[in-house]
Amino acid sequence: MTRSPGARPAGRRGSRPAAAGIRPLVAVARPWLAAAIAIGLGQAVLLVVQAALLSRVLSAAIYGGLTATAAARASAAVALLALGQGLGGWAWETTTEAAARRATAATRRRVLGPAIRRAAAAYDGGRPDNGRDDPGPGGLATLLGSGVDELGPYVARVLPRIVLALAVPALLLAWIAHLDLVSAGLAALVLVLAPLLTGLVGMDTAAAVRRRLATLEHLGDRFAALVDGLPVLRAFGRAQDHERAVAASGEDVRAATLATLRIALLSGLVLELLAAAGTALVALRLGLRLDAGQRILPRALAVLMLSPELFLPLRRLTADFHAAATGRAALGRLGQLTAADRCPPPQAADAGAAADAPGRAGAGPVGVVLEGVGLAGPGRGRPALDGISLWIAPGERVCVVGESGAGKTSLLRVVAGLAAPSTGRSRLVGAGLGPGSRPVLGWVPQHPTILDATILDNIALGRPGIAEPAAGAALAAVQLGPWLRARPAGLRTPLHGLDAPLSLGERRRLAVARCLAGPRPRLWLLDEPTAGLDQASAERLVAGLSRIVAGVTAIVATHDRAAMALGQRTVELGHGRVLGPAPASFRAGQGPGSAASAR
Amino acid sequence: MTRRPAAVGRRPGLDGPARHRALAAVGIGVAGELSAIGLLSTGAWLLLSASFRPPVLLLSVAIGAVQLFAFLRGSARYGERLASHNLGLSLQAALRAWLYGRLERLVPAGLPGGDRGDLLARLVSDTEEAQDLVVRAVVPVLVGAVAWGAAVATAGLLLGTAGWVLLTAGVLGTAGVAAAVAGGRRPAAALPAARGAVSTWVLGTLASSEELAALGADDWALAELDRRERALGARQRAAAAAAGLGRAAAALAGGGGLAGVTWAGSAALRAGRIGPVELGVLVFLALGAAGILQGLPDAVSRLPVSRASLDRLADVGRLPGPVAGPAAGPAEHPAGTARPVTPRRAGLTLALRGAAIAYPGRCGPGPGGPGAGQQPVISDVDLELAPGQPVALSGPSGSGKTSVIFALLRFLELTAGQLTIDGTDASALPPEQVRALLAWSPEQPALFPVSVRANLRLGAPGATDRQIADLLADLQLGPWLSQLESGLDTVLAPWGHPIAAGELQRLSVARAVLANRPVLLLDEPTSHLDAATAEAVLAAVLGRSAGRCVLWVTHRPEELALFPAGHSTGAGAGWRSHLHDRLA
Repeated sequence: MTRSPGARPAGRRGSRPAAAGIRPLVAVARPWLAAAIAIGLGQAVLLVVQAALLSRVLSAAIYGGLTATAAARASAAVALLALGQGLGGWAWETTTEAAARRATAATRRRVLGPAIRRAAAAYDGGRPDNGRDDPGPGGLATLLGSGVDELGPYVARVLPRIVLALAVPALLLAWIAHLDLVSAGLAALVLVLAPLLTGLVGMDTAAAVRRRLATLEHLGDRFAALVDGLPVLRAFGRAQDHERAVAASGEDVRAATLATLRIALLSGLVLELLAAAGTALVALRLGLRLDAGQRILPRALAVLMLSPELFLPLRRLTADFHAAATGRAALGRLGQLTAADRCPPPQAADAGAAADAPGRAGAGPVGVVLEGVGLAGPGRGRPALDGISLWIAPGERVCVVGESGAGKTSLLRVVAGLAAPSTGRSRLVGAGLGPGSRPVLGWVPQHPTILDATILDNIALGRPGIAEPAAGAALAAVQLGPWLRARPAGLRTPLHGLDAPLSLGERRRLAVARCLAGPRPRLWLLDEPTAGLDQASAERLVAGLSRIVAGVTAIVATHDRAAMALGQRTVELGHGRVLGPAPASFRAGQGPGSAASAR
Repeated sequence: MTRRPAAVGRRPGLDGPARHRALAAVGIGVAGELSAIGLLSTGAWLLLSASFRPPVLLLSVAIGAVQLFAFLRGSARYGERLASHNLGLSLQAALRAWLYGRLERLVPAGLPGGDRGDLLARLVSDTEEAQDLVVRAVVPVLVGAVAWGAAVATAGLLLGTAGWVLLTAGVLGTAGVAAAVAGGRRPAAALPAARGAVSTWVLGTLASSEELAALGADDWALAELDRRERALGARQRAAAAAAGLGRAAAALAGGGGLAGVTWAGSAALRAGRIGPVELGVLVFLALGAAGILQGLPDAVSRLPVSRASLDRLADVGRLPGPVAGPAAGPAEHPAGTARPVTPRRAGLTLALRGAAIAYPGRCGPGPGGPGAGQQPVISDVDLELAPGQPVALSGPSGSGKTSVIFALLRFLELTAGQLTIDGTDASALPPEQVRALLAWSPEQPALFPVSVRANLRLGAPGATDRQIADLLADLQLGPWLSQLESGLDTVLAPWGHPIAAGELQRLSVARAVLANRPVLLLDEPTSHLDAATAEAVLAAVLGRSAGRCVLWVTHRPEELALFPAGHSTGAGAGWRSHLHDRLA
């Protein structure tokens, strides 16, 4: 993990190009943001009118001219204003929510769409990129989960308030200047000083606060780590030792957090003192003028009433400091991501073609031709694939074996078109295949994902023409027929996302059924079909698969003897290169019908 | 979550220092709010009386008061924020200590639900939510209530009707805000599920992006995302509408109070009951009270969220411990800073006979689906662990392998059958005494943010660096150890030194082996290792456990064949035993 000092300059460097990515994320919400700002300004105008009304009543009272009708009219007007303010409060809440909702939904869609399409490329760093640090699928998921959630409050609360923190004081100042120029000057001076001074204090404390926040996070994580490891502590009889440690660390967190806050809140203190001082200064200035006998009471009262409102938008903004900081960070990262999507990955066109090709392309198995294929590794110096040349005839079934990290999965990805080779060429040959068209693939990853949808949707994946009979037949073909019959609502049974109570073997069989339900695959790509299964399940799965892939081209990546029965020959990979046919020891003791020819 | 957290009393209450902190936070906050109102009121008083050209002394007193209030208001907000954080953090610390004590009796088997890791993480963040509740909701509401009460009382002293008007407005406004929060509770309660549906879909599509891309189903995935976003949006809209109503109620009540005070005050002025200066002060008091009301919705809107967190914590307080056994209170167990006092008998035999294992209060996670409360995860378990006779256990995920280990560790009670140690019934012994005989490496190992040495010495406080280094070398961790910048002193923390799954697993195995206890329970110790390393780890463990009992849980069939005895678990709470011929 990068230490924070190292990470910071990178983030700062990244924030400039990110700005280009931010704008479209917020653009969807622009009308609502504009409306929210208009509502905020309208509220400020209502305040001005209220101040004018009340000060007129009070001056009339002082100068003895307050009639019953004037008082009643003013009270009624104030009540009407209250109605307006209530309406404004409601409108503010709903408008800012609409802005946030639109921005988050659009962002998720903008990021997720390309992420699916360039699936594999982003997966292992295989994307021929200019070294932009790209989040892996885990990082992307976090960004789309909590990152986008942080975006909501930022758009709803912070963005409109930034504008209002400038516009409302300007509006009020203009009105105060119209009433009393010197008061306006005093208030303006304080207003200009406020960001300046808070900025100075903030600059001075920011580094200290950041340093302390980092250690604070670690102190907090310590508790999480202890809770996480509690079963182990208990098993070793050491849980009670840590009870006191937990209490003590809570005390540490309290003391350290307070020490941090004492500094971090200083800029807030400066703002509060300035706001109070501004109000007091204005009151004193006006009091002295009144004492000098000037008849400015109505104006003076109105200015006094409005002076706290001058600072309110700024104070609200600083109160949302946390939402602002996290939101800006998330926005920056998301912006970078969407800016990166402007340059589509090279295989995007191919992947798009995969969807509509099946109808037109011919049938029958296809052959695979790899010519000196290389694939850059994820970050590290060693490439994932290094000059692989391989020729697989139509209808031939090949097992690819090798240590973990030898490049088996990368090879499958390149063949599937999910990763673009950085050197060399990967081609599929067969009837009806031209440039840009792809045959139907039977892609079965090592860890197939069960989506949070019904069984039918999990099989059909929205592809047209796959109805219940086809899905049921596909499940029966992978021996999931009894499993399906045991489901309460049959194909309409929802499978609950990643927590689905499906064993690994069942998940793989479901993934095979996905491929079987559509047009017949002309090339099967099976990644470690038996990994993590016990012997009996592995043998069952292999038996079923061997019936399914019979007569079709197939590449099986595996290190398991049982799965090698699926291939007619084996190819051994090591460090991204072909080492030749698998050594004899690999095949020792395997069942009949395997490794008929090791060419 | 329908029950009120009746167990609130079982959570730590406000002890002495916390009560002082609470008083300080509310007191400083009230001082700040009153200073804000005082600033405006004395300002108004200053302006109004200045137009009568009062004596200079009076004027300078007013000016001094304005300055004092200004300073007080500015610094009190700072003080209040510090004091309320102080209170919140000390409550959080107490809550964490309490939670740790509770969980100590419950983990790993006594927590409900499938994903215990997720629940634990949520409980940890729930304690943070409690702190947030204090800082952003409880203290502001209390401060507002007291300050508002003071403003209303002052107004009432100046003019009775004005006091009544403000009181009525405040009560109506609070009722309106409360009604809005209550009305928003249903959409707000439905929000997490809708948000979860979106994020589950995002995670699922990201994880399956390759399959979706290969099958051309990306447009469908995005359309489904849109559908879920719309469902989420409808609930968000409803929640926002309710929040908006709360804001409207607060603004209406504040403005209504102001209008009422203006009207009543003017009438009293004309009747000669108050002077113009008093009228001015009344109007500014009403403005201050309205300002306080306007802060109410923000604070109150946090309550439903926080209540869910507190309810979750209260639920943990109510859960029964999974193992009864003879009580082994903390007094009996010397809070062993050094090694636990254990009868370290080598060569004992541990056996489960006809055992059935169930999780308390929930159904087994097997493929049977929802069932009755005490349905066993696995039954008819016959397992004998004898010295020098390592036993392998395999079976699909969720078929009860880990439950067998939990039963041996006495984390789970047997619903049928017996656990014996050298023939004596283990249920007669305190669970701690049984555990002292066992060393365990869990399926999902945990490391603590302390040094490598301290992590490994958890069960063997006396282990030397030499022993540790030798063991790590046997487990093929020699190169890993030598590239650590501070060797065994390196702190293993996600923020300091991240660690890969395969290394984590082997460190956990090393911890169990090093403990040198009569029984070694290893739950899938090689699932993240490649074949060669797995083989070396198995050899190292077996080589170092002569004369000890070993239970080796594995997925790898080739490993199963190396053990003289093996068992497998299967669907439908099944238990099978095989005896292999040792491979020549």
